[in-house]
Amino acid sequence: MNYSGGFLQNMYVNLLKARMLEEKIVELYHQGRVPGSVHSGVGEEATFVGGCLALNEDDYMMTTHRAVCANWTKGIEINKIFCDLFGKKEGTNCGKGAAIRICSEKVLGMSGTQGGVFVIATGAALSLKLLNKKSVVLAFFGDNTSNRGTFHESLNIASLWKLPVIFLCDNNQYGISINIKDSTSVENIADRGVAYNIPTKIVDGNSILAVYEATKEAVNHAKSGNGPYLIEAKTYRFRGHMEGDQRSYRTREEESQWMEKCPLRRFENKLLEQGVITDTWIVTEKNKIEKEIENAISFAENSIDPGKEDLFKDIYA
Amino acid sequence: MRKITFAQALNEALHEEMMRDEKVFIYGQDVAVVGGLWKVTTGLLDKFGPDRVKDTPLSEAAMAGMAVGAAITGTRPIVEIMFADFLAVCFDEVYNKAAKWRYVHGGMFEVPLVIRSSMGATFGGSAEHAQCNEALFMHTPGIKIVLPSTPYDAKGLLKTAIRDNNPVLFFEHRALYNTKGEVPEEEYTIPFGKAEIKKQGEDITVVATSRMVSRSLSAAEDLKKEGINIEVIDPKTIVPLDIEAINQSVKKTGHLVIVEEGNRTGGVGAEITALVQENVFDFLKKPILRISSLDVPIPFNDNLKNMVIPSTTKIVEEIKTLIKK
Ligand SMILES: Cc1ncc(C[n+]2csc(CCOP(=O)(O)OP(=O)(O)O)c2C)c(N)n1
Ligand SMILES: [Mg+2]
Repeated sequence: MNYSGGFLQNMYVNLLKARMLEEKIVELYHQGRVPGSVHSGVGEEATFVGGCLALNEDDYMMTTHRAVCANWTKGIEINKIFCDLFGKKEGTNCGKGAAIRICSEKVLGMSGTQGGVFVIATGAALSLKLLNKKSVVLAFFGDNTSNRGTFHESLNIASLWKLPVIFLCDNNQYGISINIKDSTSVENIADRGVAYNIPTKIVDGNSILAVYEATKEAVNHAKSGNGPYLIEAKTYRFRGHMEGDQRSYRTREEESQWMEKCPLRRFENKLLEQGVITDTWIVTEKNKIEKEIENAISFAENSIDPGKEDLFKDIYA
Repeated sequence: MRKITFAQALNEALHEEMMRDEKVFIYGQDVAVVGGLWKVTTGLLDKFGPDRVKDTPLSEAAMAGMAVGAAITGTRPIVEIMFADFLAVCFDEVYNKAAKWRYVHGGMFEVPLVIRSSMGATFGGSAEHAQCNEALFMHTPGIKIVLPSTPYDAKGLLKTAIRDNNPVLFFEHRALYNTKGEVPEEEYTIPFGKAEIKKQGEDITVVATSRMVSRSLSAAEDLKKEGINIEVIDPKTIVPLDIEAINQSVKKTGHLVIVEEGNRTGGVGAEITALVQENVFDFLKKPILRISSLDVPIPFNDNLKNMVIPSTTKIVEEIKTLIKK
């Protein structure tokens, strides 16, 4: 496919933002400034950003604990993202759901019990179909979470009723410490699609264009009334399951092999080679993003905590 | 006034609400083509078509969880879970997703859904097709729980449930489906959180739910012959619970008995007991009595089953014993 320079630059900026956000969150965590755990998505940004960029504004998305960066791509204000990270009142969830549950009208939130995403995304897609809306739901999920029964129930129903939902697996090879070989009976998560008569695609999850193109195709498929799609993006979690994880279950060699395939550096080199971007342009962009992030952090750190008036609010509508 | 069955009353509520609001839709196992095992969804498919009335595969987790996804994106799903026992299969979706999605997302979403489920120990049922497990769901904030006891209440409460912008668990006792009662032709709804005094009395306050309301009312007649005049209160919804109505009655009678079909331990009665002793302890003349199913899995054999489920006779005997204490 041919893309304009502006399109590729925009894609790069989103990817860079995601990486810088993810790295900043890790840094803040180790400075003791995050009042909770951090499941870093460093190394997997191409999957999250590429998938998200294939959506229109009126499409829906559901994230995972590892896809915090996709919220920024989807247009949620960075101030709010940091407020949620710190549990502040001005976040999207009023200090009640942490950074994993950043949400908006179009970002439907996250299920703390892994596997809730499948049923909720499928139900949202059913709703969109009933309302005759021309939108889709993009549901991110992890490889190990595909072992929940809800995955199988949802894929069956989504296929049966031809619902506009895209299941996008970030297969980072691990669920906490367990390697996919020890958790999953098939080699590829995508192999499971055939059991439910759902078209699938396996892509290089460290190639933002590959993820984008596959998701775009899935979106078109769903919007044409053809039902769900299952995409598997093969990628790798650069860091531990959560910060503090010593990664005793895998080797440093394995990690460095994957780090060679860093999704940001690969895309950057490609665009530099093509002359779409330059080193000085990158520096300018980095500075802009850095400033945006620093401003957001100070906004969030100086903003208020939720209080007594919020405690019982929103249990019921 | 005309008399119709509990199942017909529910069916009318569904017809009326689906007519009133096209965002309302319903799905469940065998609800569309055959109108449900309990004949509550009869005629809906013909009237509203296959988009709004759907048969689902055997997938309770998806059924309940999808309702949350649909509700947060602008529709108003009603789900039939065939047996309340099967709510255990979608416990996460009810207890963690439906009940908490709004709160943990800071009020971003409304979750207007209804899960209807049949319950109760009836002919031929045993452990996994017989339970009244409403108390399980009372433990989490975020979900409303309805226990209709008459056709009139069934209709009015279901209409309220469908219009509520929160998740509602609606428990239909299977022994009640064929019971008849007066239901007006005119439109009406019944508010949540408002108890009804089914029978006035001065001696003992009896709080009863679902099928136990009629058993308590029968017990009231027997007890009257013995000179004991009980007051029977039906809270109709246990979340929200009209504890004020119960407090007021206890202030008058000085005695409280709770009759429920669920298990005793951690039951609805346990919660009401705790609340009443917190609120009006000084008015109590005797310990609070709980009459409930015994804490055993519900056995198949009728001889055994009858020992487990509170009968009218048992209610009468236990209340007489309480008075003599
Ligand atoms: C139902 C449930 N079981 C277990 C957990 C604990 N848990 C959180 S993340 C996780 C690993 C998930 O692995 P995967 O789906 O591959 O996602 P990844 O963390 O790799 O992004 C586990 C076991 C949970 N949150 N919910
Ligand atoms: Mg994983």
